[in-house]
Amino acid sequence: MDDHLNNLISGVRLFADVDRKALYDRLKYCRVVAYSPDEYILRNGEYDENCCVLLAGKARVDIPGESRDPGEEKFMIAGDVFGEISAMSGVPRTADIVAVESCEIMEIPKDTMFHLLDDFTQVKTRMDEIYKNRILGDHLRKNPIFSGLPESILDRIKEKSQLQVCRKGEVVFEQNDEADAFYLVLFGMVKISRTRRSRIEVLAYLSGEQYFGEFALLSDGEKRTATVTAIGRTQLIRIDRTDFLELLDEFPSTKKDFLEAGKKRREAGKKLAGDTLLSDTLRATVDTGLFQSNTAHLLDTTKCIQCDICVESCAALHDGVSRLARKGVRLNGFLMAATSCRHCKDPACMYQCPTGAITRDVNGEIYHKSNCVGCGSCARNCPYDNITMVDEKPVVTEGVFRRTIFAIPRMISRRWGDTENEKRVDDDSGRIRKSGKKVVKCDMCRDYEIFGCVYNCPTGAMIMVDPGEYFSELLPVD
Amino acid sequence: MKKIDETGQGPGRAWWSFVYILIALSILGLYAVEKKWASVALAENIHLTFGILSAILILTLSAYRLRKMVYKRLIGSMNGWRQTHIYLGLLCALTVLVHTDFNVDGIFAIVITAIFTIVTISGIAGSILYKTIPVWLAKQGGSILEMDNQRKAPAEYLTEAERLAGKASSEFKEYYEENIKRRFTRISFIPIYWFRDEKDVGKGVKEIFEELYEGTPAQDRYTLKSLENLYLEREKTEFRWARRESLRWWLLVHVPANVALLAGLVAHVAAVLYY
Repeated sequence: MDDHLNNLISGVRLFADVDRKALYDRLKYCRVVAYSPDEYILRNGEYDENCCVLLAGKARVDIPGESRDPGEEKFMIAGDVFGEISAMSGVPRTADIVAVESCEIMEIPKDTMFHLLDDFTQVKTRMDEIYKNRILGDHLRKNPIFSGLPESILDRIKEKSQLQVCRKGEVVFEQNDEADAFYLVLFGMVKISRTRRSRIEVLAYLSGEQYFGEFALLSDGEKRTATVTAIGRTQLIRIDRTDFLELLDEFPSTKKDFLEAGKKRREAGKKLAGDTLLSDTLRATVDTGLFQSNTAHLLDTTKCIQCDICVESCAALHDGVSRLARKGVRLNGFLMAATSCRHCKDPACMYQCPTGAITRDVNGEIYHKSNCVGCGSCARNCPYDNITMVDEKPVVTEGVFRRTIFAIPRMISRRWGDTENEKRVDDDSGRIRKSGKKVVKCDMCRDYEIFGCVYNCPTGAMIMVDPGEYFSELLPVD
Repeated sequence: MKKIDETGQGPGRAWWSFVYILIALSILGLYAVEKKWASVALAENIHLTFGILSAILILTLSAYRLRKMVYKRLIGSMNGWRQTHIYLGLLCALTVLVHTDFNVDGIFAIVITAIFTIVTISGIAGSILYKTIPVWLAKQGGSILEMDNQRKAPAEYLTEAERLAGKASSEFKEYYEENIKRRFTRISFIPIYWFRDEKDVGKGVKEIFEELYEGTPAQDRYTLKSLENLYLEREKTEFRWARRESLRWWLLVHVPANVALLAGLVAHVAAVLYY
């Protein structure tokens, strides 16, 4: 690393007191990009999972919905970190960052950032602090119960809260545990369930900006009345019991709001537990990870005539290999989630790609670039088996005539020739692929103006939806 | 890239019905006016115009098959094409009738009319089948998409029946060979299923097996009950399968009849131009 860069990095607070040699070893995967004044560094709403460090220059932060008078604008200066929200939670960018002066930005890829957090405790502590303060303020302001509180109190909550990251299936607390904290869901989803007469009843599914754990704190009982489990990778904010009760003592109206919301939630929970179709649909939607995805191919089985045109058109649009299977999980009596990539909000397939070939574009679509070597890492990591590996040359069904005509040349080629499947020069990188396999997954027909399967379905049975929006009405109200 | 027609859902049935009724009434109105007031020359011209319109419609309707071979081009969603195909088909029936002045004279006209009737009726039947069969299957708790997995091959049912009978007494085995086995070896696909109610399938099976119970030794009645359940499952699956298959079978009437109609159209146009 050259002296100029070395000097710039030493001014970054995030990396203060960190062993330089080990740090530089990790940072070798980062790139430094220069921006001219008025150039956009990040754009609100775009998917881009790099974390950025402003090494030199000054940039303005434009948060949508926040109009600031000249002189009151928010700026980033050299040494500041930004873009960590998207990197840590996989959501689209939440603000525009525009260069005010010539800027030098270090872009830290998501994988590298997680390695940095694992390797250096100081970096993790500081990053968690930055992340928590930025994201929590936003979440508290959006929550109807907290939005009425003065800014100074919100700052106090930020100070007293802790960030908690849960893995898929991790239990946050169990029924009958001591009630020791209040939780806010930042990203991801949790399931609230209780055991009653040796039967497990699901009471609610809570996602971003919702909260839980207040019931036991507000009622006289000190035991948890339900079990809370993280459904996917979930980020929570935890506020300790004493801090939470202190806050409510100070603001009795907030306590009243909590009690009223709790009443509504219990009613919704009863409704959900009693409605088998609704709870089955919700369970299927949640279990299949549809809530954590950006898109879903849904098949209305009452309209599907099994003509297979969706699969055929997908194959026709994508080199003869279909990325869609006309089978899947039944969500309720008639709706089926077809087997196809859902472009998850937190895509497991993107971790561990050795060449960084699997990527996400600004609209959230996940696709493979031409430097994919066909190693199959993404296919192994996909929890829904929606990525498949196929032979580079698609198998084409041929008639008797063609098979007879080409039988001898093919035999010769197979015996003495250079089998194309095992050796192919990549168009862009010039590297040689050795796996003989190529990855196949739905890329939402990114090269076309249509979704092939939807556009060509003759009965309108196939639809493409944003599951969050489509199924949101199923979720119990808060 | 910006996507067009994301849902693939065209205008609803109400819109199509409204447009169809409007056009149909206009055609019938024109026909009534022509009948009452038009001169012979004008009437002939009107009939000829409807003839040309019918020919164009028949060719357009046939183009739906071509649409099914074109996946990449932006020539309208397939759903829109299907709806257009249905309503233009109905319109074509009307224009042809006006063209012929509701008269069928001569052997050629009779043949063409017969073919046209087959095409129209099979088309209407197809659109009804497309609407009703998947819904019916869904109401039975199944789905058209899962039927391939649910339906066992006939041989599998027979193997299962043999296995069950194999556990019973030798007396029952003989009884099975004589009276029951043939029920599992029967041809599975029976078009008569289309005209029966699913409840009757279960009823029929019960009646058959009630008779068999009388001649069965007490210790083998449990096996007979298992065989009855297996047979009932087979009958019900076959019943649903037969109905599902009707989604394809009607095309075996509709498409060849349409080809014949096209050939008839060519012959008719050639004859008109020749004479």
